Amino acid sequence: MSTIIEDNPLIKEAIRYLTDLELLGEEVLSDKHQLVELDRKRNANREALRKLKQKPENEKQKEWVCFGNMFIQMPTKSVSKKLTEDQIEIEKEIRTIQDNLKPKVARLHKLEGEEDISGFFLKGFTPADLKNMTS
Amino acid sequence: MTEEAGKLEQIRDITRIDRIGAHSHIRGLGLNDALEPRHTSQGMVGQVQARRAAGIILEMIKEGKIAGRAILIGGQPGTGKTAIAMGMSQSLGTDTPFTAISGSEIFSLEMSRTEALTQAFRKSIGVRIKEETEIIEGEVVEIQIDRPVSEGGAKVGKLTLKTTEMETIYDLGAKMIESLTKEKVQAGDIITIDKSSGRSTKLGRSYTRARDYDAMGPQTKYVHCPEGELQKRKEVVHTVSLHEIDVINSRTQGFLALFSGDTGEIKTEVRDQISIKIAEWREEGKADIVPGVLFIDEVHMLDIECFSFLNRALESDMAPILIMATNRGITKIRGTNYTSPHGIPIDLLDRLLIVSTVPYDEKEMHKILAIRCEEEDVEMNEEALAILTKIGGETSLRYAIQLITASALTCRKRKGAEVEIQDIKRVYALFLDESRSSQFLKEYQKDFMFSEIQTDTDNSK
Repeated sequence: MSTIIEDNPLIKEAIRYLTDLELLGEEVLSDKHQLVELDRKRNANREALRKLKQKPENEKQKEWVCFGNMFIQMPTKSVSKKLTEDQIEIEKEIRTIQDNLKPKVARLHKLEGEEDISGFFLKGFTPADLKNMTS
Repeated sequence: MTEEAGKLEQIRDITRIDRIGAHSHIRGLGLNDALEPRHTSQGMVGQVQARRAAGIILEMIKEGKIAGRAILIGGQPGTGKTAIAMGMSQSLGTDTPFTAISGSEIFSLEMSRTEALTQAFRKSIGVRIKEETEIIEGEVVEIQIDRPVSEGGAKVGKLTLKTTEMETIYDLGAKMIESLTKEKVQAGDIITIDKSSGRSTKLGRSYTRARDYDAMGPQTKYVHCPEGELQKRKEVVHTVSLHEIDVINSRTQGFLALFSGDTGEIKTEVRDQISIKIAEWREEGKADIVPGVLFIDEVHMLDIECFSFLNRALESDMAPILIMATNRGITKIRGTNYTSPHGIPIDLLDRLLIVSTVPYDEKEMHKILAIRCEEEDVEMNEEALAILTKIGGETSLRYAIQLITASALTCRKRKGAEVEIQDIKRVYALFLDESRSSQFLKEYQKDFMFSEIQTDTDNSK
């Protein structure tokens, strides 16, 4: 059975094409999933930051923070600082995944034989740009 | 999540009114992958040479690298010139700008001929730009707005949004509360909030909340709950034509002129600045130029000044592909006393690729009439179709096409199932074609008003 596969170049080509396609599809799906998870984390952080801001100003206030399976009490200020740093990290990661997702989806389209969607690799534009061309 | 990772929707803004026109049965050029025309395909029949040439030109257009080429389709009346142009425009699709004008259209009191031609040229070049925004899209689970107890206190509000995979709470500021109350957002609505402008839009109501009330208002639209993350990056690709950009920048509130159509003359400085800006954006990667097609029918109606203008306009690097059509032979160029083939001066003819169309033979006419019968939803039996083909061969194709609907109505009047020979005979007697009409005129000329009885002069066609 294996010799049939190895001898026939067409079958080998077909198997390689299908593996590529499946791998790419898996990558795109897992990226999308990861974006959802990151957005969930981002929103949770945002809610936490809001709650902390609303608490009355008190220098000595300590908050309970959960790290993995440990609970630690930390001063409020450092908690907010940590959360904001976390947010920046998450935003950066979301940006990278989104930017990498585009060429992957374009390749997927091409492999599946669909037409190229043109124009998505242009840089962004604002409506003000259209109106201020003669300045 | 970028929009295109899901399904791409083509949103039709204008509902298409389905009226059957002379060329509405044409869906494309009917070529196979090797650019060879199939005899009957996509509404086109026969005319193989011209279609093959048109196919090659189509490839040139799709590549987009060739600017300022011009093609002339010349042939007798009723040989499919406009049909080929329609076929080309359908094959190009909605992405490529296709502007069709008639030669006499450029003569107007509002603007000069060169202005009308320049506008037509600029309408056929598209600019592709991409708009990028961060939006928050979700279904409203709960919206809670508290009015302050004391006077002068600000309203506070909380908005709970969810998608199929996550849910979160937003604290609302005063402006946001105002815009949400203005939109009358309630629990169960699906809304979109633009992060940069803060504008909120209601997309509709969620299906899961459809059973909340027994009766909803007339404008209620039901939408599925959004999937994925709440905060997405949305990218929309727009194609605008250079003419639209010109008009928007030609005066204050210029975009209103786009809708009213009353653009007037646009200054050359404005156009130059815009061309420079677009070239800049192209370098920066912000915009893409999509060269399109300008189709000028009845091009012999243009006069010598327009032709000189065309010579120059074709040289610019932002020129579309020009397709011209005419049915004139060797005629006088309008605006001079010289004659020239097709009524076009030789220096412009030299820059053109000329495609000829030949009259249809009987078999092709038979097929075309069958396609038109189908398009106009008329049932005709074989003998009637054969008679109609004969009539078309003796008179003209257009006359035969006109008879189709007329005979269908006659058939309906006698409550028949399908059009038969008697219906065709009846409408043939009722409606004269061109040669019978001119014969009638020759016989009874002196009885018509203002007739000058001439002995030997021919009627010019």
